[in-house]
Amino acid sequence: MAVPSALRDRFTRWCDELDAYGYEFAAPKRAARSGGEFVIGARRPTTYGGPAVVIEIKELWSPGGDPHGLGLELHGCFLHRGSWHAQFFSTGAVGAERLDVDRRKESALIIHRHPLGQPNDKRVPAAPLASPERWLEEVETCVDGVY
Amino acid sequence: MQQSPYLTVADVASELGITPGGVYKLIERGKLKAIRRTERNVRVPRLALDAYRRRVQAGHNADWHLEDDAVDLRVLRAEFERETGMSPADWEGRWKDDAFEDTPENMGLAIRALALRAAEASSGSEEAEAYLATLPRRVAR
Repeated sequence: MAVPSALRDRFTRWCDELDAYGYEFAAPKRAARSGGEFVIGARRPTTYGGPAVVIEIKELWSPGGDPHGLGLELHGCFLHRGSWHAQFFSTGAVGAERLDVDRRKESALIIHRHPLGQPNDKRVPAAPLASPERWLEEVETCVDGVY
Repeated sequence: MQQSPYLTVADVASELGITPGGVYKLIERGKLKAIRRTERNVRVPRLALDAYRRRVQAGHNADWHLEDDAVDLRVLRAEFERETGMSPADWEGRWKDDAFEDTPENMGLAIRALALRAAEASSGSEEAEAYLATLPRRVAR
């Protein structure tokens, strides 16, 4: 039950993945509030054109196993709440691709995405995308689609 | 003329001086990021190729340091209350009742509210028991 270990490893994994796609880090990039939360801000450079996607990763990890059996676990902790937000255009919700872990929702929608081009109240089950690697690949696929 | 933002596997092989098979191996191992437009149409973002080259030149992945912002909890709580007009516990309760729109900003506040409650709980404040009682419990599948 080591929240600091889970936070450290998860933070490193996100930073490695973002770096491998060529993102530049921006504020905020910190472990915040001592309560199992971290925030990472990053921006996709426009060196080769395309949208300047701004990413904000927010996660909160708590001690214990995943209460819904979703496998979102690390070092005896579980991803309690998460929001991975990629803003493509300055047009609010419809200009963003977002994946949330929201345990208030019914089981199929605990991990859901708000797809690019759709309003906030559009939610699509997204369990297969619930890893930094898969979600960033999805974001890059969206970038390819809007070039 | 602007360079193409995405490269074929053959392009990358040529730029790195390795075989296309070698490029696929780098992609499979997660060393080089790529997208799959179709089953047989793989493209490598030029930004990802630049990042790969940077890492190879450095000889290792970057070290990422996670540092706590070490701000007093009372300050963070006051900041939250000023921003939202309510305590983290009240905000959390209303969030659970679906009283707020599911925006990225509100999702961020929901994370902050829960993190503040967790931090207060671990600091042994009187909020601890109330917070711990709200933690989800493992359910049978």
